Amino acid sequence: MINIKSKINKVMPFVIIVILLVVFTIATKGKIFSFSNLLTIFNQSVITIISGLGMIFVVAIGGTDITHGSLVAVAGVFAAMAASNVSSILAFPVAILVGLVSGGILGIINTKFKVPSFMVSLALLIGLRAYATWLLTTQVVFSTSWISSLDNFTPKIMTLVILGAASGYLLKYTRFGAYCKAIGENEKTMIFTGINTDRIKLFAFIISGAMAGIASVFTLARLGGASNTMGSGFEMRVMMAMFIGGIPVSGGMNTKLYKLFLGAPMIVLLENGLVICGASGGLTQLIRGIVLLLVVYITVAVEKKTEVQ
Amino acid sequence: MQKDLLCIEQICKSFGPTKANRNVDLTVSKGEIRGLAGENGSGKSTLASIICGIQRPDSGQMFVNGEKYAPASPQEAAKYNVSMVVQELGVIPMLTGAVNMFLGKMEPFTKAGIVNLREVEHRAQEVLNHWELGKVPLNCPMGEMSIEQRKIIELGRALATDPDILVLDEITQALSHDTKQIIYTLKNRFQKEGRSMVIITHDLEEALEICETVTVLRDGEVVDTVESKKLTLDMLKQMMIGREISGGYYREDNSPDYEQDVVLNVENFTLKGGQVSDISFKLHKSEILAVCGLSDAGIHSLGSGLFGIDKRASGSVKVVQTGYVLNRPQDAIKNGGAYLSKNRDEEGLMLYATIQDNLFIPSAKECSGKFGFLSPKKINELATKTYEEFNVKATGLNQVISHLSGGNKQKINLGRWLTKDLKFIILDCPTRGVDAGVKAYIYQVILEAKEEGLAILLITDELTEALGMADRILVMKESREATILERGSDFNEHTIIEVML
Repeated sequence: MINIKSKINKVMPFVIIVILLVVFTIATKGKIFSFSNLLTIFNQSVITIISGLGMIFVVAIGGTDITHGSLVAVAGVFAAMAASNVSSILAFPVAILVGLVSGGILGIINTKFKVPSFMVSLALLIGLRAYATWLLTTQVVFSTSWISSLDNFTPKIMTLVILGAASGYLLKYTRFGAYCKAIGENEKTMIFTGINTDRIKLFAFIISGAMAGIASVFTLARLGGASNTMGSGFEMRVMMAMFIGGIPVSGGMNTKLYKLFLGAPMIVLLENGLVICGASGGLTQLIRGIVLLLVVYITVAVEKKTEVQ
Repeated sequence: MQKDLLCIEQICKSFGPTKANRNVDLTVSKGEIRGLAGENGSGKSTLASIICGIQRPDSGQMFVNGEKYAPASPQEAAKYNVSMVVQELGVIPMLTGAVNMFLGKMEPFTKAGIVNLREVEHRAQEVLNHWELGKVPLNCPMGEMSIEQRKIIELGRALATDPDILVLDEITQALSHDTKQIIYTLKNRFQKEGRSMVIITHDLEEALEICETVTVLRDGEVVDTVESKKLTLDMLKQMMIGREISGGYYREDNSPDYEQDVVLNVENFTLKGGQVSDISFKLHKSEILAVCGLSDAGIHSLGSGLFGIDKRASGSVKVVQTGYVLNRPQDAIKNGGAYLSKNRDEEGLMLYATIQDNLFIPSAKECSGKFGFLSPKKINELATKTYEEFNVKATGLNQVISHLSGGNKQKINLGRWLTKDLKFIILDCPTRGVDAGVKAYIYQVILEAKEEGLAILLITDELTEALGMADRILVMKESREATILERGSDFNEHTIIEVML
């Protein structure tokens, strides 16, 4: 019985992606597989995945980090300013630094003052968005040509491979990753095992912030400059990618990287397929919401059913 | 038929491939106190939850007072005057004791949709008084109460419906020596008033003492129902396990046997909350030092305090060999220490993770190499070794542990630490919620670890356990040390109880 549960958990994302593919292949008469459309799907999922590579650690410990949307905006503004005023080389270091600081603040408030991470990151989400708007009232910031050149297949796939490997290694093959997942399972166990859980959690938030920083530079590359609506709603997109991919909302041992890699294109595929079919933007959003609800419901229902002995 | 209060015929219940109850027949007459005995997984708890309407049987029927009885929920069971106290705590921590006691039964106190809380509290106090349940704070949130107090509230909740049949699943486990008296008083009342009790307990001595008759279950079937007077402890064990068990539970020597090297030196140890004050002792290599005391004597706080979970006010805990002073759990772990919490499921294990994940986490450091690389191979080797060494009964390393029996969970809980190279370990009630077979096994494991030089602090609610296992016993009274007894001539229950009180 227990094996069935873990099997369904593993197979679920694959099943959904196959269903989506079949439905849209028929509905769009194969147009969804055109080269240019596949490239669009890739382009639209890549930033979500990069951000998710960090956020996954926060999800693993059972926490929430919804700062990513606003953080992408603030880090993007700083990166664009550094790039256009000093040198393009500084774009990534500056963006990562902003991410580290934001993640650090989130982590410290969460661990030292025991404020739930959802509340802290909600406050940061609002605060950072306001900060980005304020930064942009006095000036317009454009990205440099070097940054814009990042919006191509090669740099994106390289970044994705390198960061994906690093994040995957950290999550699956290190003590840090194991402890993160174990904290998600039962934090008390880890305290009684003599692990400094606060330090592990702090690191998880910091990595999450740093990855959002990297994602911000790629967002900048796509947009061509920083605006105050940059990254709006992005945090929800990243979370949706993870949960649609089958990562448990409460984190723990079933937090696996491949689920993120499946979940992100799944959302894009859904939107993209609906648009090609001629659905309006509003309808697309509605269907996106319904699908998320269905997927999470099925995951939870399957777990519930097997939990009652 | 009229004399029988509860009559069960041919009850069957399975969960997937597991047959928890097979053709169970059971009759309880008025005023009878019936014990249900059996190893973990023998189907006692399932039977109890069927009686109380928590679960429905696959087939079979039940009668209460000769009337057909097929409750779909505990509420329906209550209409037939059947109620139960469950093994796992079923209370809402944020609400007060009084509210919890009448949870879901608020109608009598409600006027125009508003609950009269004072009335609820008043009624709750009446219940406590009526059944002589002792003093429990009714207006503080349950989360702040001790497990013992919570159990009493739950007992009150079951009694508030004025039941004719009361089912108690492992209630005495959570109660210390002095509070158990409540159960004895209750039992006498029930007998006198012609009500019945069905008691599930792992403590067989207690089962024989409280119950008039004991029904033994094995693999979901009723083995036999026997009068307690005609039973001895050994006979009962034999019936439960289905074969004879040789040798005793405990060690057989009658003198202390430990080395002179001091492992842990505790001086004037005092906790900030005051649960423990001014405790000093030396824990030696190869020594089992038991800690006993009444429920509020602070014995459990001593364990978590020494490990560094609770904040210390003064005094010191020193690892003699390295001269290291322990402040936080990390320090204890670094110095070859470990702590087994009394609350296994909440603070010990990751219930929804696999056996392997649970086994390797404490040894993660030993399983990792360069660049923090955590070797899946080493993890698997370590988990397999522990799994086999401790004889865990499960379908494999990838099984999620939440469905394992208490005994198997405890084997994992203890095994994941003992597989490490430890200097000392603090065990808080290691045999709690564990059946006779596993209990004997755990004692054997503890004694083996002692042989190998491990220093063990054994905190326990059971005096027999302390007497049977310890080299010395530290008796605590009102958060202070009352005395330290050494294994020898006046090492008996009588002396300890005298000091405890």
